[in-house]
Amino acid sequence: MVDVDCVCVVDAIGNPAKIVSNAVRMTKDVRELMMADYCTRIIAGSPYFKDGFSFQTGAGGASLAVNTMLRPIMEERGIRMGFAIGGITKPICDLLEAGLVRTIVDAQDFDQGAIESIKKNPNHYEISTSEYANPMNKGAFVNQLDFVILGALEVDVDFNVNVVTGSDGIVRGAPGGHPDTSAGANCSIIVAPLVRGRIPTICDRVVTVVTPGEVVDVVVTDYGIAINPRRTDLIEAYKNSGLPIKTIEELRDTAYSIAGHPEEIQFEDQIVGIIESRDGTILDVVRKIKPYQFE
Amino acid sequence: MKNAAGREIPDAILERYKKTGYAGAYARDQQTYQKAAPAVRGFVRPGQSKLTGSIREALERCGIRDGMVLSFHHHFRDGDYVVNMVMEEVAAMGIRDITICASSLGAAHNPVADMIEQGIVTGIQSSGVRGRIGEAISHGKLKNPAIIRSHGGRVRAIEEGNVHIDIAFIGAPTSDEYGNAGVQAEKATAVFCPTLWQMRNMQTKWWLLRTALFLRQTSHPAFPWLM
Repeated sequence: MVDVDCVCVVDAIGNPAKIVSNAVRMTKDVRELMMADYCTRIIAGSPYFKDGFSFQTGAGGASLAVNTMLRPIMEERGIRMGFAIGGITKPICDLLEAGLVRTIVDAQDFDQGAIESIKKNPNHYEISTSEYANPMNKGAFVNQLDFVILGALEVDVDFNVNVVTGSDGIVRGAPGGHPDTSAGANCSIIVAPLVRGRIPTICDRVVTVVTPGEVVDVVVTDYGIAINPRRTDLIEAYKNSGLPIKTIEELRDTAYSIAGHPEEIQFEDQIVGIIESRDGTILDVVRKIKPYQFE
Repeated sequence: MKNAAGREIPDAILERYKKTGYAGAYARDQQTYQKAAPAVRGFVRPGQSKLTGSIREALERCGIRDGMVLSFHHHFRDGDYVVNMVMEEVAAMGIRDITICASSLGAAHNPVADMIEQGIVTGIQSSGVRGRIGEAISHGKLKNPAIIRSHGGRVRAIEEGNVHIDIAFIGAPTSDEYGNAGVQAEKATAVFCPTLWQMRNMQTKWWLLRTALFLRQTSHPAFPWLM
């Protein structure tokens, strides 16, 4: 109330049925389940998977399924999660109920199950977005993250990730907490199918850099897993894991062998968007789209 | 200049926004900055009401004018009515040159694309830009380049004073007359919204709290006699 100037009563502020958007769903897709299995094995086989580990999943099919897949491994090894964070969904609240998660720190709820949980469970509490991810405060939770699972529209051979511009060059996405959690986490995992329709996800150069490759550690696809060469420790950790570890170039070559080598999208000079890095510097620019001209 | 992500950033853009190019994920570690502080209008006289009869009245009371920066939050996702309700009123009042600074925008906000074409909205600062707003931006309809920030980056931009918000709009399922908003009520099915707890973090001249239900019960009834 100390910050509020006016209060206005309206009939409705929103439609609850649409708060759970298509982005949030439990998958039965076998390809997504396979990628979820890879992610689960990456987490379970990493040096950070020990009692008290911290975790954020996204809302995509594969990343949600990891919550469920991790549970038996945690139970078997007697490992509890320290904190879960992020956009919260029911599967992670179920782990809290089961005593496998100590606290949920909540920046946003994606479903009704998460809302019910925060109402009744004192170990599930809200944080501000500044506490969550602001790089210039002294206590962002993302800095304490062990694992984050994130999606991607494109990943390039430098591990740069694009989640903003589509394959047609038009802005149609959101960074959300992607760059924040990637920069903060000990192990950031990107999960995406190698090819979507006829569009290769792993490519030479992303249209727009939204999360810089220097903070991306592992890329999981349905055709194999690439580990950022900067992370020699992780490469060593999975050497005998039986996981299909490839180089990012191998994944790109496989993608191009299936979908072909895409022509570059054509843009005009006019800058229509600025991708600001989380620290306020400029990471990339988006240019005005040009109707494609064949040469 | 070519930044640390290997991208060419035109000098004109850096100069216009007084920015530097990305220099690495942790380049600003230990850097000092001055936090921005909000301009605040006092509410001294007892017995005044913060309740307004309409969105228009609230906008008038907040001194809406051309060129303002309006802030919204995205926690109702594709079910959000707040942005459109406010912007329809802003448009009807003949206000122009508005910058929408939202934590995110989605397909629910397609009507904003028309306001971009009409010059009512000339700036977008957001995490998400989807649907027709994204199309309008990519086709060069928005007067100023859209600024796309991560969630952490938006808070940082506000706290560092990179963006100055004139009026912030918060959707809340319940509130008392003084603006103590709550989320837990029998009929309140809207999503839990930490934005209510973020207000202190935002440097904003005016807060306009919009509530769907005006109940005699909130989760934190500070002034039950006002309810």
